[in-house]
Amino acid sequence: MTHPAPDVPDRLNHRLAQLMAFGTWVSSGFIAAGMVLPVLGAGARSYAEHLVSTGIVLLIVLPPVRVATMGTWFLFHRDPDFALIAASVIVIIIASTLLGAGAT
Amino acid sequence: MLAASALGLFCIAAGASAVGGVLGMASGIFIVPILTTIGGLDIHLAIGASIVSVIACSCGSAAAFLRERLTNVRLAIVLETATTLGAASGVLLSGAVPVPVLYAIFAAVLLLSAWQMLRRRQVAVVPADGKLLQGWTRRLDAVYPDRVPGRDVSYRVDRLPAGLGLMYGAGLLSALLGIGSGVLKIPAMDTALRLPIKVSSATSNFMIGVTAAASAGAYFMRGAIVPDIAGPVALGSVVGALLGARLLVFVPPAKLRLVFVAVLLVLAVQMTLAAFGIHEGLPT
Repeated sequence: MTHPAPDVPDRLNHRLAQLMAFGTWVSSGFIAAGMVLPVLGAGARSYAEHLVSTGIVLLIVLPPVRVATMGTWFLFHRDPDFALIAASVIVIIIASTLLGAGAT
Repeated sequence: MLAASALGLFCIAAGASAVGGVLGMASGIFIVPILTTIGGLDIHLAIGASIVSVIACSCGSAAAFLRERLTNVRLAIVLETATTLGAASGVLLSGAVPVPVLYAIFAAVLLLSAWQMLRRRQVAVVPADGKLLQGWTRRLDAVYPDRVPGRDVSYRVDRLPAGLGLMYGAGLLSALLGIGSGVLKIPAMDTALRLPIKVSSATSNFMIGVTAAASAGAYFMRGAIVPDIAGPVALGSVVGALLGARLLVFVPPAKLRLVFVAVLLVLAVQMTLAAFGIHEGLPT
């Protein structure tokens, strides 16, 4: 059985590139703001730490959001195999996070 | 102690990420040894900070590779099932592995990486009578733009089960040591899957963020990712990844490769000493 060449639409690459670039800048912005505020003497230290933590969480969440975006794309473009694979990756990440957090 | 200040952490991460970026590696392989042996940090906190830096490197450079159509996103999502499963195993194991063993594994990975650096990566050639997988796997085949002939070059994905097996190991190492696991991904991509080097580097870089995220979430909830340490390291990694892409134009990779090997060997010695509990003589 042969399949046509899997010509991945450039639009998916473009959309993922936009997501990764935007997500990296936003999370870096939060971290940078949290690092710079105490140096400038602006804001409480707890507020600065909260900003850094938010940036780190956004950074950690960005790759799974990318996987979810891919899964949705595959689903809407009638490619259920790859949508299912993307969903499996999300499930594994969630299971790893929940099981790993409790396994100290 | 340099690593004690946010600026010091930022500079260490930026430098590691820039050098790693020029050579197509994530910064984690430098970050953990530097933070533990030079910075004097607890290895679990160093791994927590490093895993965030691996995500930062991956996310920071993914856009450029995607726009250049070098990343095989379908292959990436298939291989990520194995890397995330490996990462989940690594997270569950991480609490049970004694610290000296972690140092010893890290030293072995550093030595293997140095050896890989000395060997030139070669384009895999599929023998004329080679048995290629047929059917569903052919949906992973793709094309990439090659500047030298100035046209799209098609390639096939081969030996997927072997690639998945190596990727599981890469995910496990990534979670256990807080690294991108290029030491296993490079043979998986080049030798097992027989991908063109540019596609291999771009797809590997694309995947390491998801692999690292599978363990980073758990480490964050455990409190092993300390914002005061991981924040500057992550930011430095993003800046370093951007710098590394620009340095690539000016720095001859061959010379940098030798420096890189020397640094890896020094760090391997330090991690071996740490595995045996010998910390004397190390700068603090």
